[in-house]
Amino acid sequence: MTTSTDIYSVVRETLRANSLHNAGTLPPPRLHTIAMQIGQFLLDEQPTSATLMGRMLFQQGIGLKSLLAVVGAVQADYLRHGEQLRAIESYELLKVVIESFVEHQIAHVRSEHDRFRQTVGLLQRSLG
Amino acid sequence: MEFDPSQPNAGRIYDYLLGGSHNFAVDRMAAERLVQMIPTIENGARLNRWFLDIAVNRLADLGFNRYLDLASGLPTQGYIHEIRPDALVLYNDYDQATVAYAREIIGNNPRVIYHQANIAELESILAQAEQHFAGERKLAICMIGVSYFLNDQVLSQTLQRLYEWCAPGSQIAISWIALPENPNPKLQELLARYSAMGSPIYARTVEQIKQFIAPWTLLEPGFQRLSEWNEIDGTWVIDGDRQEGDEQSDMYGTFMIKG
Ligand SMILES: C[S@@+](CC[C@H](N)C(=O)[O-])C[C@H]1O[C@@H](n2cnc3c(N)ncnc32)[C@H](O)[C@@H]1O
Repeated sequence: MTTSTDIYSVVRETLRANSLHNAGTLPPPRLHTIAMQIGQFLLDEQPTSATLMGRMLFQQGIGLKSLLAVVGAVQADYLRHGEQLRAIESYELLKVVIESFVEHQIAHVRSEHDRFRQTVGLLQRSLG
Repeated sequence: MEFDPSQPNAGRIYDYLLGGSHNFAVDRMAAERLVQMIPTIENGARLNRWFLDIAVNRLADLGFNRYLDLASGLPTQGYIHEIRPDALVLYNDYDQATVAYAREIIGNNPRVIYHQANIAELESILAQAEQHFAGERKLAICMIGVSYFLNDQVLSQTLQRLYEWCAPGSQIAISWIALPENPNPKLQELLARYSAMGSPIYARTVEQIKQFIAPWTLLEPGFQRLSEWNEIDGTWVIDGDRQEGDEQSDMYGTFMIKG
């Protein structure tokens, strides 16, 4: 059976291996805290909202590729331990995390583009 | 350089390499050409920016609340005033387009000032610092991603003058590129290309760099690779086809104090 230590180390190693996909705001030394949060989330009987988890991971600077790698590694680990049911349950949960993550990412990119256009507009006006 | 969206700009290219949105198609094209030339450049940009984050948090944990940041580029994607919104920050860059754009990004924030000057004209930067920090000279200073664009004379004068000017207890965080004494042909070509783009990289070995940092006192853990600061396996090697026995190039990060 997968223990909390196993799942934490699977998540931590996957996050570390993918650290270059994360944002410039998330130096790898901070990844162990995030790995613990994800591990806790997966093992909780009544996990905190998956939607909130998706938003939190995006805000902390996790890259989509890192997140997808974590989902793959967690599934592979449960299946390796013969825990099909848990693999399915965690997949359902992580799907909601990914959806929320992507939603926040899209909203962020849109607002950054707007901010860029606005800033360029202001600059061009101020330069006459 | 004027703000000109039809010309690639170093600050916006860097923003693109870090995955940001503050760039035009010309910047993205120029960045992609750089990536073709040096495939590890994106990783290098990330390691540098992560080191800035590590540096600002380490300095803040020590109680620093005044930051003088030399060669800031675009303060996007988690830059100093975002990491520490309560701090007083003086940014600097010599590129007019970068500065004009950066001021618009910062908006009306009295804690943050962006000053345009070449590091070689340090006195004008120090005069701004005197004003912005209201005469308080115990500062956290950052020189991230720029030391290798400064020639020997400017680098040594800058470090010396900063030391004289700031108060005891001030600290400075610097990132470096160390290159072998005898670069292999591929690395020589790379350096020549940078020179041709108007941004020569000054190749120095770790031993040579150590000469520049006196009179500052090097703090623990000393000269450490950015990959180690960032707990990344392996090193950041820009001369990919390094021959057996060639000395390795890499990026380093240091903290120093005025004792
Ligand atoms: C690689 S970026 C580093 C940006 C930022 N410090 C960071 O770590 O993300 C280098 C910046 O240094 C600026 N720069 C280069 N030489 C300079 C000089 N002599 N004086 C002031 N700025 C300089 C460039 O315009 C560019 O914006």
